[in-house]
Amino acid sequence: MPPASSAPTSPSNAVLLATSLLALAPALPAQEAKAQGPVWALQPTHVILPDGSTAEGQTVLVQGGRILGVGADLELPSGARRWKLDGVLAPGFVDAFSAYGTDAPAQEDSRALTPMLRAYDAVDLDGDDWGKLVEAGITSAHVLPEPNNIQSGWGALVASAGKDRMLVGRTRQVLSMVISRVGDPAFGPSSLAGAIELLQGADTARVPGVADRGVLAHVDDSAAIRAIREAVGKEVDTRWMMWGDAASYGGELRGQYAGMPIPGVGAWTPRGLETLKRLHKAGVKVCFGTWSPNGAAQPGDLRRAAATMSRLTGDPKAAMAAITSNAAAFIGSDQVGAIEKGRRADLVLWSAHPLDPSAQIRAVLIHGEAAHRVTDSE
Amino acid sequence: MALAFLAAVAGFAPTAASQEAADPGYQRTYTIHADACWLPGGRVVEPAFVTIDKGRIAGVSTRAPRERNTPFGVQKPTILRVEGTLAPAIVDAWSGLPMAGRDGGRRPLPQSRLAEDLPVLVAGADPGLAARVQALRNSGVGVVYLGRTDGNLQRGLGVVAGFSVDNLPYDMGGDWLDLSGAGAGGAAQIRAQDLKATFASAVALRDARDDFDEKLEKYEEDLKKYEEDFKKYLEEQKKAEKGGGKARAEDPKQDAKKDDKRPKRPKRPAPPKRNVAGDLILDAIDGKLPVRVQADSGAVVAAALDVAEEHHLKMLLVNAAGGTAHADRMADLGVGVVLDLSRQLAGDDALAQDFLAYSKAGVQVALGSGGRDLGPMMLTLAGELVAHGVDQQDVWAALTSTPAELLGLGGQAGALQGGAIGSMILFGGAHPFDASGVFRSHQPK
Repeated sequence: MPPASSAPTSPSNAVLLATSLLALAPALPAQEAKAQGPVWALQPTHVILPDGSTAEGQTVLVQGGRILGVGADLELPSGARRWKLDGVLAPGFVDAFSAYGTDAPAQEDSRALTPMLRAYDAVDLDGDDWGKLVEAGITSAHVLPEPNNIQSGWGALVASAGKDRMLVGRTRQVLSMVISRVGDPAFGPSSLAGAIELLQGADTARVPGVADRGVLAHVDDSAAIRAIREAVGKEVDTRWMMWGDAASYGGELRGQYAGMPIPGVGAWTPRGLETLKRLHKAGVKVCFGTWSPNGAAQPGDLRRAAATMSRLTGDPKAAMAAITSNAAAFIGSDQVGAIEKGRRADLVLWSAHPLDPSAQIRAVLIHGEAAHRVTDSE
Repeated sequence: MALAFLAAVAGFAPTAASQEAADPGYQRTYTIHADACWLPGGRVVEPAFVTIDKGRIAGVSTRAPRERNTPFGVQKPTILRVEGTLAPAIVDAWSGLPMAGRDGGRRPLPQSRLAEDLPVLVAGADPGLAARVQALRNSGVGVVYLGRTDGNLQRGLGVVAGFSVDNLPYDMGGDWLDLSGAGAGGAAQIRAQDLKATFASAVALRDARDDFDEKLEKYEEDLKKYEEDFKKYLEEQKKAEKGGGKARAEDPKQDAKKDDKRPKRPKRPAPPKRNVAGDLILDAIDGKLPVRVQADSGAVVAAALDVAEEHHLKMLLVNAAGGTAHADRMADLGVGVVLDLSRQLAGDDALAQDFLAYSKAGVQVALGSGGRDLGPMMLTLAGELVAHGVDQQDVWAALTSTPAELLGLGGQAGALQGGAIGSMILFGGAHPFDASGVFRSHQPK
């Protein structure tokens, strides 16, 4: 017979351990969940490291919802509880530009410039979407204002479950140079030139918070990229959201973080695939999200897109980064997207590598607390 | 029963047109040295030396090919070293590869052969199509079934296609009669009735032809008798004239009307009207043409099985959603199924449950992309079936060896063995679905 999957074939032990571990979490007093809480030493079969590689024999120390350290030869603090876990411990996926989490689109149609709009105000923390994100291994989502205004407002990073879920209330100022969305034939702008003029007059770099937090620019051609660069200046940290045919302008984003919408069902085109491959080769740091100009992707599509990217580029690490560390950098957060010291303990235990579609989620920890566990019936 | 069906499928006589074997243009001979390869029956060879000769696998071995002494000196084999495990390319039994003539706006005639719409195998013949084929091949697909997607009951004749060195599809498996039972609810009931009525009409057509043949035979006998009788009649007339009897009237017609003794010429029976669509159904009934029925509902599945049983058809059901209640009957009749992998996009376990139900009943299950362009996602979606409880080897077989057998390509695709096409995938993970390792496709040169 061909070699069996690397997925452990008898998950019951792992499930038992994971479930036992998770059962502890809700029992922890709230105060202990802070810095003075118990230390857990998680010892899974494999850990996915920040560079996307997979390592054996690693210990992940967690205390108060944060990662204290990761390593093969860590000295365990006294009192640390050791948990051997059968499976692959991966960082929770980060939905870099999410279609979920709001009860209504975050937008303001009356003006072209709405820099003070906050996507967070539209977030529905009690909505059903969050549960679906958790079940897909997505532990945090970047909620954005609709890119219908040249200055569209502020994005927000929200945890998919747990307490204190608003991780970053203002991530980046969203700019949009996509004329099909910001254009208004009645009130203007009606052309890219008009949009550029408005952008230049808006003095984005002086919008409070932009200098510190940076911008996220929706673009669909080279002219839009140049206009954004000229308007906000080199000092402002800029991320890019790619629309349209990125093959025609993606080369200008070499070495930078850029979001790429997931094509819809059956919408992968040879050119689109080749574009993704070449953007990766050119050094563009791609990340994925569930929002798309053509409608929402499913939460599970995030992992599927990463698997497609892995096969396409032959670079599983980059594919993994596209839904974890690159996504965090795209947002501007050093709290999520990797298993490393100081970050939130947003962790998912998989039965095999998450890029293996036959892998199943065994447990999800968000900020060190149980968000999802696999029951026997599952 | 299943083996008998396989043997029957494998023995389909290709049409005259498809017997003109296309030359896919592969030229080179070389050996790929991989860490391992997956063989038919789930065996693994480590290390693996797969020799490709002009696009086909010449042999699989654990040893490197030797140098050969030729009149021109020692010939060293070309060996390419790769890391990973080799496996056969995917056989997409329900491809969405768009091509000219497939969805041209006008409804296709029932007799239109998709094989005739395939491009000429010349580099640059269809750059757009070649780009799509290249993308498919990069995703690990090596063979596709191409059928029309229009809504007619008789959609024409589909074709099994391989890919040339220039990434153009070529006919490698003969024609299939494509029947559509697409639609659900009331439409499905109508489709089911139409399906049965189509076969009943074809049988009636044959009966009418048989009846005509009998009538024609009788007509020819009657005509012969008439000619003899008329000859005798003329002789009697001549005798009567010589004997001083009444001479023949100047107008023979006038005379014949009055002459009751003159024999009457029999009428030639009218032949049945020409019916090309019916002829194709009759070819299927005669076992000359395999049948694919897209059945989107249990009603159409039941109707398709009725006609398969009544006429002993070589049949493949496509989609067969809602048809698991008929799985045992399908197995008894040797009817295989192509499930729509795009259903897995919903993320639930419905497709996995269907897969398990059909497999448990003994139905041969293949997976296809549902007439969509799933290319790069096929392996991911198939791998998700494993997460939902389907055996990994069963899923892999449903992408390779089973569709090859069901499409009549046994030995030519879906397995690494001598004579099979040289398109392969190379994976570095635990299995072909695993994207955490390196994945590459190999296309012969």
